Amino acid sequence: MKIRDGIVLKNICGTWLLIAAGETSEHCKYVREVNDTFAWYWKEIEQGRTKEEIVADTLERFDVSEELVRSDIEEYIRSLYAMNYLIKEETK
Amino acid sequence: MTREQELYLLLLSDYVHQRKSEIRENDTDFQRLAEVARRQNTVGILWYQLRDVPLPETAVREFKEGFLSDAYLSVNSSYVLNEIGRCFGGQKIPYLPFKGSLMKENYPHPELRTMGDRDILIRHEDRTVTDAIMKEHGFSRLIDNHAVWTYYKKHLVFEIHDVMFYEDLSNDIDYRTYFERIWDNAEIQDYRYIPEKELHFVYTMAHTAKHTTNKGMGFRAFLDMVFFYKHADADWNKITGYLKEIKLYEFACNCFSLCEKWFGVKMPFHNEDPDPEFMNQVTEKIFRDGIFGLRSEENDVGHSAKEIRRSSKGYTQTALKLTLHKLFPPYRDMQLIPWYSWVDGKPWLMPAAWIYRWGYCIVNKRKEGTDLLLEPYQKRKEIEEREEYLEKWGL
Repeated sequence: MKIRDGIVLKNICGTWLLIAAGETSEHCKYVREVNDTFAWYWKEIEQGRTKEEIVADTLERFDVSEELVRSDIEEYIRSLYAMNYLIKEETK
Repeated sequence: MTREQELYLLLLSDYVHQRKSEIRENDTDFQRLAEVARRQNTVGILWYQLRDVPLPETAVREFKEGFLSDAYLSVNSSYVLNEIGRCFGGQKIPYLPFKGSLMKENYPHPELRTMGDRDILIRHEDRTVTDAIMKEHGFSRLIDNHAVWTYYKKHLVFEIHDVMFYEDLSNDIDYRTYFERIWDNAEIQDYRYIPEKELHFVYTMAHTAKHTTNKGMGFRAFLDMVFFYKHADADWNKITGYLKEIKLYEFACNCFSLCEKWFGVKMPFHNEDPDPEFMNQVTEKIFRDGIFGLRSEENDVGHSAKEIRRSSKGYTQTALKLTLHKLFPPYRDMQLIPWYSWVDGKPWLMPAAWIYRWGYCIVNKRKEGTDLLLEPYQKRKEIEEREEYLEKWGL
């Protein structure tokens, strides 16, 4: 999975925003308000972590069950593809 | 001032001091407050101050949308500026972003410092290559007045200048030449130039003076002054020297006095004896004019008032000169008007352009044209009042 070029996650005035900059606004919503959990996962993906690594990092950082984290991340990644924020690497 | 205007200044003042605003749900009509903020392009700042106040749902939506819009435009234009900058660097073109791109960095939340456009200064000889780069990035060129070329692409406006200041104020200073030194002493990062902050600040003061002389401008320019003073750690002796050199020290004193009045701050210097009536007059006018100034009867005489102040001749003689200027606009002005672009590079076509213009005005704009020609005579009282207003500003 790969983040589409031009998507910027930024905390402005305490609010996490996912902003589609440059040509990316052709494919994604201009600006989307997201919560802390979303921002955490996003930063993991930005750093090039795999799904398994994100699960491991999340379990290490937060006191939650592995089952919940797995289902949460899968849902999260599915929604990112649906919203066009993620693309398959070869189609970038 | 209306209740909403009073509240608007109070909220800006709270933002300047980074303190919580004590506003209650029934304190004002929040729709009207949002309208005041929208006219001053500061909706995002007001959203930040009101974010914890239980507002009516429609008002929440309006302020929140304003905040999201400000955030989107800021991040998007910075991203595109960086992309374009990389291309300028790749082509070895020196470029110097200025105005909002620099002033926003002094704000507690740079994204809330809105910008109508992004201004970039380039060297004249790089004009053609930069034009090609902007078009490669999907921008369309909208206006070409030689000194500034304006580009547009989906919510974004970029102005590419090869001259930083190209208008006279109501004094004899050659601002165009003065600000050519902006390239000197600039810090260079790759091909991006970051101007000396003191000189750039003085430039923004000259820019504010230009708008004050012409169509007016909003409170944002004064927030820029306050945040620059609070956060830029500038050499104010140097700034004072520059302001005196270009005859804008008195103007700056008046601006800073207004900042102190509106935002309850202490500025590095100010007018020791401000005229309360003038300060109220300015406050009301800024609310009336909005962020980019207003085309109004009051402001329309600004140009004539400026020229009469600039002139060493008497009123009648200068008025006559203004009329002749309107009848026979010089080549320098005509070549910049898009529908007379056919004279560009061919000054010998000027008589044909004048005849065409007179004919066009007689057929299509007879009253407007006549009013314009007679303005210095018919509106002498308004022009003299405007002159007095400029005098009080120190311009």
